[in-house]
Parts: sequence; C-alpha cells; structure tokens
Amino acid sequence: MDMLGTWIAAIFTLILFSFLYKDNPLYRMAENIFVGISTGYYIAVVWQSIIRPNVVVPVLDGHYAALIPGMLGVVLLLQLVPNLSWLARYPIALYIGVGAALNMIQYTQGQLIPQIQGTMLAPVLFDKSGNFMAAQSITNVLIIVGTMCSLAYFFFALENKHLAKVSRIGIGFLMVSFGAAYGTTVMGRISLLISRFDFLINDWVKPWFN
Amino acid sequence: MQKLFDKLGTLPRWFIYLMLSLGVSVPLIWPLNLPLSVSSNSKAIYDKIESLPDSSAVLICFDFDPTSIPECQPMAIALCRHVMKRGLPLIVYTNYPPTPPIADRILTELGKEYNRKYGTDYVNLGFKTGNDVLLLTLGSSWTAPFPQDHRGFNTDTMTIFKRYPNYKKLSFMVDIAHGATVDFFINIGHSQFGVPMACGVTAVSIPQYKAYIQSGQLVGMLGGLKGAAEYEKLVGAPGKATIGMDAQSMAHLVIVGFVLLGNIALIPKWWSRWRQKGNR
Amino acid sequence: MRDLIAFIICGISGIIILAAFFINSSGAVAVQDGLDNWIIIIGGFGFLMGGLSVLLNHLGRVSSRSEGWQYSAVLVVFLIVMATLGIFFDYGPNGTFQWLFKNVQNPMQATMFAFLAFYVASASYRAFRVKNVMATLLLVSAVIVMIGSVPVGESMWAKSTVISQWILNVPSLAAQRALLIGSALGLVATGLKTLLGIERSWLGR
Repeated sequence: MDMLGTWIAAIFTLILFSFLYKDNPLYRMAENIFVGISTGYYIAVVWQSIIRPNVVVPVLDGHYAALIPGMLGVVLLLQLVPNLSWLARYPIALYIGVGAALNMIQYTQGQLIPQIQGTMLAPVLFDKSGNFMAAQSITNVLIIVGTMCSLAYFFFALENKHLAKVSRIGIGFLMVSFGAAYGTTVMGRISLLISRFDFLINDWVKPWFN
Repeated sequence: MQKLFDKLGTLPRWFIYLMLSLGVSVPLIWPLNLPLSVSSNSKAIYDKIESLPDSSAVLICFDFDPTSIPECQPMAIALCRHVMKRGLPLIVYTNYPPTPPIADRILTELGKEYNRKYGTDYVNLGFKTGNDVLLLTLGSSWTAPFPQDHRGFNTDTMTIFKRYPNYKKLSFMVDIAHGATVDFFINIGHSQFGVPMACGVTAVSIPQYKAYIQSGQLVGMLGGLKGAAEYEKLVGAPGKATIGMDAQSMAHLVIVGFVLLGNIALIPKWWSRWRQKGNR
Repeated sequence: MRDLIAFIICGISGIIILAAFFINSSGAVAVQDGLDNWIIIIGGFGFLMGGLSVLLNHLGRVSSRSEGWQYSAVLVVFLIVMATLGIFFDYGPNGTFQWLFKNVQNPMQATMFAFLAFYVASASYRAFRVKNVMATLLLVSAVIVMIGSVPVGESMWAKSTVISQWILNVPSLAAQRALLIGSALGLVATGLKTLLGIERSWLGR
C-alpha cells in the first residue's frame, strides 16, 4: 500500500508540475480532485473534532445545554438558503462581538504595550566597569530612530514638511526590512521545492536502484 | 557587445526553471555536507527545555498544514524528540484541520522510541476552531473545549490533565506555525497567562517575530528549514531539514546569480546615463 | 430591526469578554468560558458552511452543464467520497480516509506551493534591478540575507551570517516593530468601532 501511495503521490506531483509548461486537462482534473478531497476532508474533520464531541455526544449524555450552540451553528448554515440567510447574522454577530473585544484586549496587552516598551532602550550604555559600550549603544539608537521614523511614514493625518524628511528615513528602514523579508520569503519558497524534489528523488526514484 | 547585455537581461523562463531545478536536485543526489552553525535563537530554545524541572509540562502546538510540512515538520519532530527524551509531559493540539494525523504519526513513533505512555506522558488533543478564543478557554480547562482527544478517548480521565488541568500550569510552550497563531499565544498565552514561549515559524515570518525576541516575549525562534536543521543538530538526530540545507544553499546561489546577471545587463544603460550627466 | 438585534448581540458578547478581563471573579470567567465554547462550536459550523458552499456551487455547475462541468463532477464525487468515509467509516490512522489524505491531498497541496519557488526565481531575475537608492537598499538587503542565511554563505565568507543577522535584528526589526505598533493600534480601533456599531462591514453594509 505504501508503494502504491508513493506512486500515486509522484504521479500527481508530476501532473501538477506540467502546469509550468502550460495549462492542460490533466492538471485541471488533478486540481479538482485536490479541491474535492480537501473539502471532503475538512467536512469530516469538523464533524469528528467539533460537532460530534462538543455537541452530539454531550446531548446524547443528557447535557442539553450543548443544544444551544448547536442550534446557533445550524442557523449559521441557513446562510446557504436564500430566503433564510438573514437569520445567519445573529450567530455571526456573536462571533464578531467576541472577536472584536478579544482583539482589543490581546493586541493592547500583547503587542502595543510590550513593543513600545521594547523600543524604550538606553541610547548610551556602559558596562559594569564603566566602559562605554559603543556597539550596543549604536544598535539601540538605530532601533529607536528606525522605529520612530518608520512610524512617521504611516502618519497620514497631517501634511508636514519636516515629517516628510523624517518619514524618508523611515522609508529607508522599511526598504531594508522588505528586502530582508524578500530574502526570507525566497528561503521559504525554495524549501517547498526542495521537499518535492526530495520526495521524487529519494522516496520515489531511489528505491528502483536499491 | 550590446547584444550580449541584451541577452543577459532577457533570459527565457525555461532556462531559469531548469537552472533552479538543477541547483535543487544535484545536492540531493550528491550531498555537499556543508557545515551548519547553530544560531543563538535556536540554542535559546534548546537551553530552555534543558533547564526545565522534571515536573514541567510542555505544550507544542502544531499550527501548520501540508504546505509548510517541509519547514515545520522537521522542527516538530526535533522538538517533540527533545521533550520526550527529557521525560517531560507533552501536550499537543492544533488550530489547523489537516494536522492531527501528522502529529499522531510523529508522537506514536517517538512515544515507542522513548517508551512514553499515551494519556500520562503525552497526548494529542487534535483540532479545534477558535484560535484565540480557544486559547482563552484553555486558561480555565483543557477538558472543557476538548472533551475527547484526537483518538476519541475521554480527556477528563487522563492522568496528564489531572496533574496539569489548564494552560496556566504549563512551564513552556512552542508554537510551530505557518500563520498568525504565534500572535495569539504571545498576546494571551504569554502576556495574560504568563507561560514562557518560543516559536518555530516558516522562513517568511522570520523578520516579523524578531521584534518579539528583542522585547523578551519570545525565548527564541526556529526560522525556516535552517532553524529546523539547527535543532536537529542540537538534539543529535539529523533528518529531512539537514538533508535539505545543501539544496537550499545551491538554490540561493542560483537565484542570487540570476539577480546579478539581470543587473549586469543594465550596465550599458547606467554607462550611457552617466556619460549624459557628465556631458551636461 | 433585524440589524439592531444583531448589533445588540455583538455589543453584549463583546462586553462579556471585556468584563471577564477586568472583573477578577470566577463567575465572570465562567460566563466568558461558556460563551467561548459556543464560539468554538459556531466556528466549526462555519467550516462546515464553507464545505457545503463549495459542494452546492459545483453541483450547480454540473446541473447547468456550464463550461468545465466535467471537472466539477469529479470534484463533487471526491468530496462526497471523502466526507462519507471520514464521517461514517474509517477515520482512524490506518484507514482509507487518512491514506487518501496523506498520498493524494498532501503531495498535491505541497506541489502547488512549490510552484512559487520557480515564480520567485523568475520574479527576482526580472524585477530586482538597481533603479534608484531605495531599490538598491532593498536589493542589497535581500541578497545579503539570502546568502547569509544558508551554510554556503558562511563557508564562502564567515561574516556574511553576522551581517545578515544584524540586518534582521536591527534595521529590519525597527521597521517591523513600527508595522506591529501600527497594526495593533488599527486592530484596537477597529474592535472598538465594531462593538459600538460604527463598523458595519461584517453585516454586508
């Protein structure tokens, strides 16, 4: 079964790679098989992981309180029925309300305040013996200046000549950051390709020669 | 001469694809065994797990899907191996539907290797929706949102949850993620519940999470395939990530080479522009 | 009236979450946990809705015989087979359900994203040209990070890793931090607007 699985995976991989040459019916077929299997999988997992253990099993055990979220979930599904889709706004409202409040709390305590605290660095540092730590001090100054200038770039409320000069420095920092992000993005994408080639070469082809 | 520069600037796509394919496949067939150094961010995670007392429970969240398996799965294997080797209780769950079977396979294999008992030493809770909402609930109890684990066993009878009834009892957690779930663990798991944490992310997310390391919210970070390879080296179990590093190196050289070629093609343009400026 | 009820529900559910955060009482936390468990279940039905939407969409294409309906028929067949296997038959680790997922879906999803490597290489060659100062900064930073992040960079020049890490830990960190602070402010403001009923896009208005 493992050998069959490897062959099926390899064939589908090569069919999908054929898209690099040009779009073709085999590729479109494989793409639709992929979407069908993925969607069917998601439906089954949601049933087995959420609906059965959190709604069906408790209700069958006599904990009828689980019926309420279950019914709200069914009301959400009514969005697919044109005449009744307006009912779905109520479970959505519940979801949005919780999400919005949680966002307010979590992004203030977890992102806004700690990141501002992280920028409050000493621009001049000395070690225990009283010697000036040039490298660390320059690093701290760069972080403070870079953060402030980059934030200045996003200030669109008022037009200000001096702010424009400061935001130009910010753009420089942003460009360096986007370049670094591009470099790491390339890294990430190449890893995906390596994995596919590793599978084709080491898991599919190599066993023929062993 | 001008024709050569023009040709350098308009190389056909099939040539780029071919060179990239060769750059990736040749090192996979003939490995170069390039030396790999370990970064401070990866070492910090290793040191943290090494320093945990024996009664510490660790959560590893498998927040990735098949698109990130190449980078995230090797990290997950190396981290789970480390935690199990240390004999620390391990809880695993995921916010992504495709991942529970992947976690199950890894945990079953490692559980057999290190003779760990399911339900007492480790557990795979499986998938639940909710992300940050789920995390908030876990602060009170594991078993309320997860009445059953991934295998369908009741969680309220498991020894591991009698000893560590909620998220706040954890000593450390690592989120292996390809998306934004790390943010939820930082914002709620660390900032609200006070559990120290680290992350393992795809290379794309590396720049974003450096800021959290500097602010002290993250102990460390495994970044991309290299981060996974570094952790494999630290735990002494080279795997898929280590194998992929040579191919990664060559692929990067190929891409940088093409970028330089594309800019060399612009030399006549720069030269004529510079001469025009000089004539003025 | 229908919208007003939706806004009231949104506001009350938000207040429960905020109250539980600020009121240090087990009662408030218990109410919050109950609401959170409801949200987890509703979220599950949300996933289900997405799946059913795909099914209905493609069933519509098959029944109306629109262009490419044969592909939609294949999709529907595989969807129903997978869902049926997973819900009613073998969901376990060694069954056909997991086998299909591991040997058909996983490799295909990974391959679709592997295309990006080719496109990224082609895009790097065509777009990364030195046109002005800012483009040069971007290019130089990308090249240094690409070379310094892999073992070959360290083998060619030991300092490449140090410079690459410095770029990530200092200038890039500063800019990313600005983005994080800005996005956090935006999310907090949007959350407040949503709870107060000022932000109505979630209702389709």
